[in-house]
Amino acid sequence: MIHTPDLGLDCDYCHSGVNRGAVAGIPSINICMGCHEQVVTGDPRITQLADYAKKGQDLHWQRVYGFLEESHVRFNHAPHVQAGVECSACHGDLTSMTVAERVVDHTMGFCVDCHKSRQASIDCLTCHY
Amino acid sequence: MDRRQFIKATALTGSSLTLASCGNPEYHLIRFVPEDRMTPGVSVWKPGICPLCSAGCGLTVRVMEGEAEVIRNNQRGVTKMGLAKKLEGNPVHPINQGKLCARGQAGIQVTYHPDRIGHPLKRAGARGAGQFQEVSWDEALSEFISRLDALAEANDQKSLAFLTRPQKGLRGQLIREFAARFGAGPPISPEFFSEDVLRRANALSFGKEQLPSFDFAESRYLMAFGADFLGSWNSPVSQSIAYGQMRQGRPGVRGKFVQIESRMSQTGANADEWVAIKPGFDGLLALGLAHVIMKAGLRRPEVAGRAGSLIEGWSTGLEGYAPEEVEKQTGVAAARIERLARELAQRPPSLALIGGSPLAHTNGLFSALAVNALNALMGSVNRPGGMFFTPQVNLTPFRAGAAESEPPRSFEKIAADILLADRSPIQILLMDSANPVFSTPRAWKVREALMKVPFIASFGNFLDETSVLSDLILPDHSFLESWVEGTPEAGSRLAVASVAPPVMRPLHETRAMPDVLLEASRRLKRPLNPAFPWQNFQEMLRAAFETLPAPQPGTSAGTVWDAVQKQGGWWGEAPRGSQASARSQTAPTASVAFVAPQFDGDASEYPFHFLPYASQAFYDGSLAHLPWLQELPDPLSSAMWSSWVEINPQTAARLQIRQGDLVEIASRQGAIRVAAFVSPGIAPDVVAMPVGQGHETYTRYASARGENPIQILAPMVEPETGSLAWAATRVRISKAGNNDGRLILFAGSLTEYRPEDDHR
Repeated sequence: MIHTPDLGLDCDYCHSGVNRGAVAGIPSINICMGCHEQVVTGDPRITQLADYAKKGQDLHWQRVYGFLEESHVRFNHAPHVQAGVECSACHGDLTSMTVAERVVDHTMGFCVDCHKSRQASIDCLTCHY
Repeated sequence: MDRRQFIKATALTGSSLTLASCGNPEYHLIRFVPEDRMTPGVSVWKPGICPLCSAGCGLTVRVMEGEAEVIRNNQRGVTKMGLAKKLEGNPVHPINQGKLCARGQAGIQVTYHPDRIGHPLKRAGARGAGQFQEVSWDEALSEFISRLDALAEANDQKSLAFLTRPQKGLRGQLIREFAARFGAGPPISPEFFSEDVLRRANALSFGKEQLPSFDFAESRYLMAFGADFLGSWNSPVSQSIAYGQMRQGRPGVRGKFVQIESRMSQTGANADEWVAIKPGFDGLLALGLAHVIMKAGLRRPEVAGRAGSLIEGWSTGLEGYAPEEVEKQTGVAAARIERLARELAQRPPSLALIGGSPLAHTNGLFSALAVNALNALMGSVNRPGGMFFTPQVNLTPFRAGAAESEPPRSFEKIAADILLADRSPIQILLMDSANPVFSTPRAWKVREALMKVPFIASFGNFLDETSVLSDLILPDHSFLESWVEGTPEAGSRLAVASVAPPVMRPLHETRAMPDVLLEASRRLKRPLNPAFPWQNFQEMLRAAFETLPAPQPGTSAGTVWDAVQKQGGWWGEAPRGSQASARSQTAPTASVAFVAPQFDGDASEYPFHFLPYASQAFYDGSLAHLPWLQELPDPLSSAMWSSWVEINPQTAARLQIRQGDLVEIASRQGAIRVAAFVSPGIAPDVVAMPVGQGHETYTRYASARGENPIQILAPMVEPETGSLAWAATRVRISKAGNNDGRLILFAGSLTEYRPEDDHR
């Protein structure tokens, strides 16, 4: 994937809420077009993107990660990012994917292991409330 | 399949199904580019103003990014936008100081209501049939403007009429000026719970045509005549805060509170002492109390000044109002009158107030004047612990308005004029959130009159009994989507002018009503004289607020306009010279004496007084479309989603009516059938019913639910003000059927708590 390894864009260039809010945020087409008005305009996928933007429409992003409603997990990105947890720790190495895939299983064991090793709270109410 | 396999299988399919369906609808809808840039998951609090009653509480609205289905460029789609999620009281607003009532909390549902009108509509079927077709704004506005042009061409501008709720703010000023500059008369503002009687009384007694405010916090003795001041009357949130201070805010001092009324209200249920009185005799009791105080030499008559001199016989100590005489008519024992009078005089600062049903009798003005005189006798006017008037700021962008302050016209007379004339004197009727078909007695024939008006346009965003008669609907934004403002009449020591920008973008294809008026005014063939200088309402608000001095120190960051938007309004001492003058310093009239209230219906044929009252949830019925409020149990009966009539247990036993039985209530004007609620908090010769249910047309939640007591009210009025005397109807009641489950109670009955029962 070009954006991160080749151009050196940080994840939070597009997922701009990740160090401030609970959710990372999905970029709107405006973010894409900020660059692609000028850059790589000839690529058919980019032309498609530009067509959408012209019509005032956004992209249909597909959700890859997420917790089930019934698990009652209230995940908040900001404290994790601020504690220096790499994005790849939970999302895998997205820089090597062209289409995002689910490569890390977000089980409770996965979360608790990391919380224990970093001496973060493992109180139930930290995540489930 | 064993248990382990089963769980594995369901977990697998369940999770994949949930994930697959996560946000599913968006795959079928267009996604629009977001118009707001918000950090997802982070909330922003923005100021707003609650529009649901006239108190004018300040809001703080939690706005977060969310996804909403919207229409853009005539296409339906989803977009990410800032959405209002929760309403709370604005902590810095002087009226409600961070608090908000249950009605205000439910106000969020106005914006997201599934039956909101989201498009301009044009009538497609017979008038009143409720058939409309969606039209574009271009088409709707062209039609609207061409109708106005046609009226101007025929030199018939007088026959344009505006029907609004009473509006004190700039929106009201714009409507008045639009009408006046077009050549039409002042707007008509029919309101069921009109406070005109009290305003008139205050103008006579104190020279201020305004609703009073109260300093409960400093008061040690409070006597309220009929006013449900903790629930629905005047400025309930600010009054509840001050009441809390009076009862529990001062260590060692707990003010005593006596409520005098014929039906126990939510406020009455909080009283230390509840005094039952015959309907319409409150003024007499007030003078009986004044008599005792003056006779015992506790106060001298002349301290009451002008308020006292309005009462016949005041200067000689009200000879004719001895407790024994008063007892005969009010039903309050003479010894009790003596005691209450002495308590009132000996526990200063003390305060009397009147509101609600005592003023809705044919002698309402007298009752208000009597309580005003009693207050003046106690020295409770403009003193700590007494009553006062909230200073009014003269907020206007008009240097010289074209609108003259003509006395408002009674809707009863207007309806009668329309019905009598061959050609309706109103050719075009514009309606802004008023619903007179629901909130006036059948006997006024408002619906029949409106059917004769050739063209009706409504700005409302819901179909109700009145707007369903419209030919054209130009739906307004919700109050969260538009610029809002207001100058509260009561509830604060400071002068207040609230203003707030939109907290979110419009969800539907609606337009702010003031902007529509301003646009129409520019496009008229014959321009308004003089024309408005503003392109939109925001510019008009800015022009008005920039006439005010910077708000209090500490808030004066930037210009006045920026500062007031940020905190949700301007408040402070009313600037000198800008204090709005009371509209009419009514000259003192001849002194008045007690006159017995008149009732419609003979006592032998109609033995019960019929007492409608403001519903805690729906106020005058304008909030019955909000499902949270339908679901809100009434604080006294715990009833929800239904109508009921309160009947004294003795009366009920005599008529063999049990809780929940169907009862027919018949007046000379008609009959309705509702479920009985047997309540000890009502006099044996009175039945009471909340106003608010019984809508024919008002969204899926309120239509065809319960009964409307206003339907059977007699067209009695208070003669001085022309206000509807809504408590002056007599009825007979009879059992019409057994309990059929239509009374929905959240809890049980009002059976007295028995200490021998173990409730723990």
